[in-house]
Amino acid sequence: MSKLNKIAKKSTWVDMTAFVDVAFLILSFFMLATKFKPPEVIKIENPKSVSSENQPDKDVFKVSFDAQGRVFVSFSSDPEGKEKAQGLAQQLSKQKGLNLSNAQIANFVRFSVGGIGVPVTQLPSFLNFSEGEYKQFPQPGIPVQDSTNNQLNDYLNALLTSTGGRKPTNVMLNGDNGTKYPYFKNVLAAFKKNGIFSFKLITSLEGVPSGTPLYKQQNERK
Amino acid sequence: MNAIETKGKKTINIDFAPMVDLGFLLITFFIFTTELSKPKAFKLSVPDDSVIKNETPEKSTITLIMKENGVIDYYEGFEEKPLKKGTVELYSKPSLRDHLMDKRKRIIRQLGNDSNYTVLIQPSTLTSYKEIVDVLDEMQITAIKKYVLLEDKAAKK
Repeated sequence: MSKLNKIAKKSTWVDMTAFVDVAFLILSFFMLATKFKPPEVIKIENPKSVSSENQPDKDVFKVSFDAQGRVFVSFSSDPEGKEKAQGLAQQLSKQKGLNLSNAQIANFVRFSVGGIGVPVTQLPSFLNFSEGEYKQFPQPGIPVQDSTNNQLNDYLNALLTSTGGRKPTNVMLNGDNGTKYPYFKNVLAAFKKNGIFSFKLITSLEGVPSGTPLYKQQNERK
Repeated sequence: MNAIETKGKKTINIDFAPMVDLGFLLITFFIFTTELSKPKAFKLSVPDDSVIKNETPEKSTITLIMKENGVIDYYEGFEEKPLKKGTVELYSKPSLRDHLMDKRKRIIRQLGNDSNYTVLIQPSTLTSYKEIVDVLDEMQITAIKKYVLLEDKAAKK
């Protein structure tokens, strides 16, 4: 009996110090390694590819299209991206007679990080939105459906005019798995019309299947 | 003296449990907000339509007409008068990859080299973006240097 009593009386105190150490070690790892996801207003699931090239994150002009075929344009949030977004807004305002105020242009630059997908005519009212309203607003996407009213063309034209014909360094296409070909084709058509023939498609990484020519090439290089 | 002695002997036991809780809460937060697998870039160049050049040797060309759900009709040579035609699948057997590699072998046997091996890719309205990227990816996997993404025929004049 006396033995049993002893066991029951033993305190359950655990030294947590080591546990805390590990927890904070992992915590600091994640804090240092983290890169916050950019705010996105649309959900896009990228296809996979064997390409292992890293996506650039500076000076990026991105055109996204989701499964429903809604098209959005966005710029990276670094100074070059912001400058280009501003140039686009000013030029578009001039070309289409939108008379955007400075505040509206500033909003364009701000929203362009997350993505802008409204027809040109809706831009002035859209740019009066606050940050919260922007996130809530279901953007219809830039119309690209037919060649007569391919407004992505207007956006691209304004962008190229504002940079004096200089093509953006990194043109990224961000497409969803389920997007149908006609939308992709119309996006390409708008780019072609403006003389941009080289893009980068955003994909997620996939392993190279063994036994294929690419696999052999990669192994030879090693 | 007595009071001081008891003070000195007192062991400092801090309960770390809430600290651990907090630590793991933060870890969870960072795990969820972090993006670990960075998206990759896949280079694509499209032909300039204003420059028309369609001069690839028939024997080393293959035209792929993409249907739905990874079904692809292939026409060796050009679609108008194929040397051989059939259907391959992107995600099952008979696979596009095997066919492309087989075609390469035949080209090497016939012509001696595969430097002119060209693949023309023609998606249709039902084709999804994923399939297009997957086919372009097959070009990388099978190390085909020349491939062209054609536009819809309806759009062509």
